[in-house]
Amino acid sequence: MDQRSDHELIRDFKNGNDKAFNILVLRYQEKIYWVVRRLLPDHDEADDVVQDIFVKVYRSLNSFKGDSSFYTWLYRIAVNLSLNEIRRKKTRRTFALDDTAAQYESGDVLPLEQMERDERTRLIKEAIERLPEKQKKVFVLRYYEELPYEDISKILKTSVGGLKANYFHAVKKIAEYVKHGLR
Amino acid sequence: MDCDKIQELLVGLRDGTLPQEERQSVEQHVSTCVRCTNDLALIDEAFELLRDVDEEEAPTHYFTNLLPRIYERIEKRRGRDLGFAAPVWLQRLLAPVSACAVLVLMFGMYKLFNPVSDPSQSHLMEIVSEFPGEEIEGVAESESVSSVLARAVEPSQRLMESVGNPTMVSRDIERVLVDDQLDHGHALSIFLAAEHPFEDITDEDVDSVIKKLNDTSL
Repeated sequence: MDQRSDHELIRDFKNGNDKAFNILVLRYQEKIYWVVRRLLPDHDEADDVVQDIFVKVYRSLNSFKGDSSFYTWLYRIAVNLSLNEIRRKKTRRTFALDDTAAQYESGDVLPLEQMERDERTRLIKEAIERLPEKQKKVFVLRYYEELPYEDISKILKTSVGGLKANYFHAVKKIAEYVKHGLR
Repeated sequence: MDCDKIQELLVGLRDGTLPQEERQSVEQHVSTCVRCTNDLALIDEAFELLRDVDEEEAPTHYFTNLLPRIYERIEKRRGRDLGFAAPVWLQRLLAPVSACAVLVLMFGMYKLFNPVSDPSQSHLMEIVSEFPGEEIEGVAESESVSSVLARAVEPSQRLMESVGNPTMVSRDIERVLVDDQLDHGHALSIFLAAEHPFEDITDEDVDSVIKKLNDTSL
């Protein structure tokens, strides 16, 4: 495990050491993948965006001034490129529904408890996907990434108060959507 | 504290991020307020549901293979940018860039003969300067700039469509000026620069900026 800080790695990269970039990718790839994947539930789409994020980082790193932390900058790129992809696609998907429907049609009998669990999982994913953009990105960064509000505020350039309000509304909407769906 | 303020703090009450001193006043408010009690119940329900969701997994070996695939993509883009023929992005960018250059020139002349300051333009520059190297969304989310963005869509699209047709470009510029939309071409160039502060602009980048400008106006 490389002990160099992000800023040391960036400095080494700027001095011509490409391997420093590799370490940054290995350090953050999993976190970034999951941020993108929560925003874009399809793996292939998420994979495409993740690659684009790191290509962008590679091409921009020489000019990275370090005004913010690398991590803040990287998350901002990840959230922005993911939202671009969502806007590009526009069409709403019913991702998990297809899998579940196929499973039922195949005649496999699932235990009742598992069926209910699958249904709840589907509804929650659907609820998250239907959240307005701002609430969705705050929810993903806060709930799944467990980032402090102060960090999210730097990433999204929004006040902490605004983030808290968005997070509250996101959580509430998810519960309401799932409750309504289970009725 | 009123309910709107309390609502922001309810989630913190449950995820442990609320400081002790606020916790007491929130709990006190909730105990006497039906609306906030119901909201807190919903939050509890949401967290319980979320905890119960089956965790997804990334495909096996995905993270082991990601780095080589990133380099493959970097090389592919580098190869495309180094092609001998004029890259498509350059061809597509030519018209808006030259249009912007002419606009800047004409803007200078306009200012020379109309030395009245343009508040929207300076306000736009002020906003953009607050976002050095910021992604376009960061700039676009500023409400003050959205009206300029919205008005930038049509002229920028016309400029994009007129690639390779200088007559059309100059006619377009004339129209932009006549319509008193001088700052739109400028806005496009500002947003291109804001979106890509550190790198070459590719054809996808131009498409993406135009797309974002369109989306912002919806």
